Amino acid sequence: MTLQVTITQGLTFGSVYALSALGFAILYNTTGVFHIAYGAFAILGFMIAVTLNTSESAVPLIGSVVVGIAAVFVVTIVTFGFYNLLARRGLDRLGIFVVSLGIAIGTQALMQLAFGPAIRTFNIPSLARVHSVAGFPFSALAWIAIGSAVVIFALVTGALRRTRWGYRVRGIASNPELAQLVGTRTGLTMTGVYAVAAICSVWAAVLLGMLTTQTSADGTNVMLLAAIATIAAGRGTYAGGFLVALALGFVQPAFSFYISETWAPSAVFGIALVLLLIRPAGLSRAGAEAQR
Amino acid sequence: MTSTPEETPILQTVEISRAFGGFRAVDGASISIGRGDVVALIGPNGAGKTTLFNVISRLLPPTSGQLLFEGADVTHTSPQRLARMGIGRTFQDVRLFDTMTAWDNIAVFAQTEASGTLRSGLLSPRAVGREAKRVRARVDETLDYAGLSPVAATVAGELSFAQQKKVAIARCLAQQARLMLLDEPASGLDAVEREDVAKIIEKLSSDGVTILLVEHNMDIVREVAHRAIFLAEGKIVGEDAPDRLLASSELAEIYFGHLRAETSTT
Amino acid sequence: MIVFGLTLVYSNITMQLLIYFVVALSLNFVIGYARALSIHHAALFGIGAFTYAVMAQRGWSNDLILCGLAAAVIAAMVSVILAFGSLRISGDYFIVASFAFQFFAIEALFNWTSISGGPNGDYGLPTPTILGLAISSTAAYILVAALLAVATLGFAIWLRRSPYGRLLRAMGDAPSALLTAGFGVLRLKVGVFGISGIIAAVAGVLYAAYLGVAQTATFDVNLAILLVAIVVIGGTGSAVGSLLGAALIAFVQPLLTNLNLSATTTAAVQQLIFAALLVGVVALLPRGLVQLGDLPKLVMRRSRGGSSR
Repeated sequence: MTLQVTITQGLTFGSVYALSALGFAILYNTTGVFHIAYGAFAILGFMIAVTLNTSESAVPLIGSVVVGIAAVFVVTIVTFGFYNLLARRGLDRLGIFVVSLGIAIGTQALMQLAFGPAIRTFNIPSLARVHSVAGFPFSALAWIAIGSAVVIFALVTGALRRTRWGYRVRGIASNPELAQLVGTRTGLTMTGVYAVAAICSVWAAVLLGMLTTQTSADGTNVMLLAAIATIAAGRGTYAGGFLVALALGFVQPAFSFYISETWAPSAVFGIALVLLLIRPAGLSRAGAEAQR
Repeated sequence: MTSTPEETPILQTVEISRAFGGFRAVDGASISIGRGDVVALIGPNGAGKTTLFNVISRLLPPTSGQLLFEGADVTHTSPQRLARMGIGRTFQDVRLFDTMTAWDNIAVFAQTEASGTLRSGLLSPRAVGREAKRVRARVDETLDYAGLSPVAATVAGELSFAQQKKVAIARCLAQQARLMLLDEPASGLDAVEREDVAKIIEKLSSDGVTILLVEHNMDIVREVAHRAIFLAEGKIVGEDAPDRLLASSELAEIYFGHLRAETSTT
Repeated sequence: MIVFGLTLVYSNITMQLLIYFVVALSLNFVIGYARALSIHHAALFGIGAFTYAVMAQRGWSNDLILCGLAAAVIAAMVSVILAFGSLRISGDYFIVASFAFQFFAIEALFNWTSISGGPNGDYGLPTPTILGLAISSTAAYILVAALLAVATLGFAIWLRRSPYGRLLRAMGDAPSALLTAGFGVLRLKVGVFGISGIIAAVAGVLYAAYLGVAQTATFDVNLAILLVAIVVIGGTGSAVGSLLGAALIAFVQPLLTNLNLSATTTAAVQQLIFAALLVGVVALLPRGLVQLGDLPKLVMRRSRGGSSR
């Protein structure tokens, strides 16, 4: 591996993680629910898309991805409806977290049964062909990953800042009860949030499936990286989470390049762990106590 | 019943401040509480009363200024140390140990510091037994004092709100606090329950406990407090006997102006 | 002794039951008392297993007590670090850190092939001894596991009634109020995390010795979540609940094996069962299966209370 390869891979994978983190963050900020099943749902979308897609031409390919996103969108709406129901019945945050954990492993198990345990990949040779630019081995797929991440991020943050929907989402994020009181149409607004989450997560999973491979059980990794980026950046900042996730994308190739290839996968989680334990200055004991 | 000048006040804050980012919730507040005093901290919502309590009990470190307890500088003392030194407090949102009985809630406050170590369980059985007996006696006595004996075995989360507030005060009593910080002890209670709490406060005071309380109910303030301190936007803007302080039209405007604005929004 | 008459299947179930009970109960100390949803318990369990694997395979020692001590030291160190972490970060943040540690530990072990044997794992481990006595029969394993279970249960009972346990529960309910009672949270957290981790690691030593193999895949995130599920399904803070949860897993596994499905299908069906139970129990019985014991009382109260809730 060369430095150019490291940078190319870092940018590509980082963009995918960043996309995934964006979807997780918008759900977390608006609902406060730590949606552990996020990753499993993303893989569900990928599995549906990869099963439906049979050719390499653009229309069926895009069509299958859209179906995957739509399915996850529906599942997400139902799931959050369930969370809301439980919350109204007095279940605390920890309880909802555990339910989310159950939904995550349940989804994973159902996928194992429906799609089998095999490794799946979205193999599109024409997109994977590498065209080196000054030694940087970018493929069309890499450009698609980086480009779509940037575009989706710009669209979502732009919409959050400029549109009425974005105004409502920010309102719900800063104070859910108040938003409901002043008559924000939370239902409709949240539908948009679930759509954004479904698009970000499934598209990220599809990209990962094109870049490498995916199995039914890979959802937890996807979720965890997104969650770590969201948390390390701090609640409420989308750009921060995007950048942290992008940086996490560099860890594995950089570690392989400079230190050791075998240890690279554990390095990602090791560094993430250190980041989580050391970085949250605003979450020191006093801060946490004061919030209680 | 204010303290004589030569006696060391039990609590003194010197130009104490607490900022959150750029917002100064408490802004250079200097107060002095004499031994045996009952002082009410009043002021509109958001004036910094609870923040001042958090700073005095050191759950929040002050941004600047000095905190003195019985003449000793405790600005950098940990909250648990301060609790051991004799400062007890209640919370506006009560914060009982909800899954534990009223009895156990109070027992936590009667336990020795050593019981917080695993080693304590491995001490000689006789020492463990002796300690258990001491805690039992203290808890029973405290429950009796606060009129909570009938609900001793009830899980705290299932007690009535008034009983929960009483348990909170009883916990301070069990830790033998010489200074109690009571955060809205009467809020959310009906007239009979309020009178009940006022009686407990008066009883505590006559037993020599110094009390600093935050309270919105002015009847209670008039009834129990010897002195009131008026806090607005983090600053102390008045300090006098409750009746005289409340009679000041200027402060009443700050207070009731806020109160009116508040009621109109809800 | 009756255990001698048991068939191999039943002794295997008994052994699984005892080990899962010990691991779940020790996890319950953290979840039920400190109210920290610790995901990384499977990693601690695994650390114990590989401590035995390494020590026995290299001929350092196959004494369960010695290996147990070594595993306890390692697990305690890890747990203390994570306890410090849980002070800095709470709630969701701790859960994610705990998740990350679970992934990190197992991934790192997997790559450290000289310790873990990589994908194949460490196999053909020598049979253990205790104070020079070889543990060769299944009955002997069950006896050792039962002793460990009784010791853990004893500790749980002591926690329930001791002043120390009272402080732990108080910490779970309202940490800031505990500070105002004069107790620092650090020491309590370190204590309960440490004890919990040590017990899990010791159980891991016994588990690896019993199976004769240790593979990283056994202790992956799926087991981690399964352990949380056992605790929550049974009932957080309840020793009986942990026993119920452990029994569930110990009996579901062989029942599914009887259906002659493929290994992956069996695993998926088992996961599905636990997922459904987890969601169902949390939604309907927030205190876990042990709450079913209160049901008669609840029904009576409801019929007496009339329309009120």
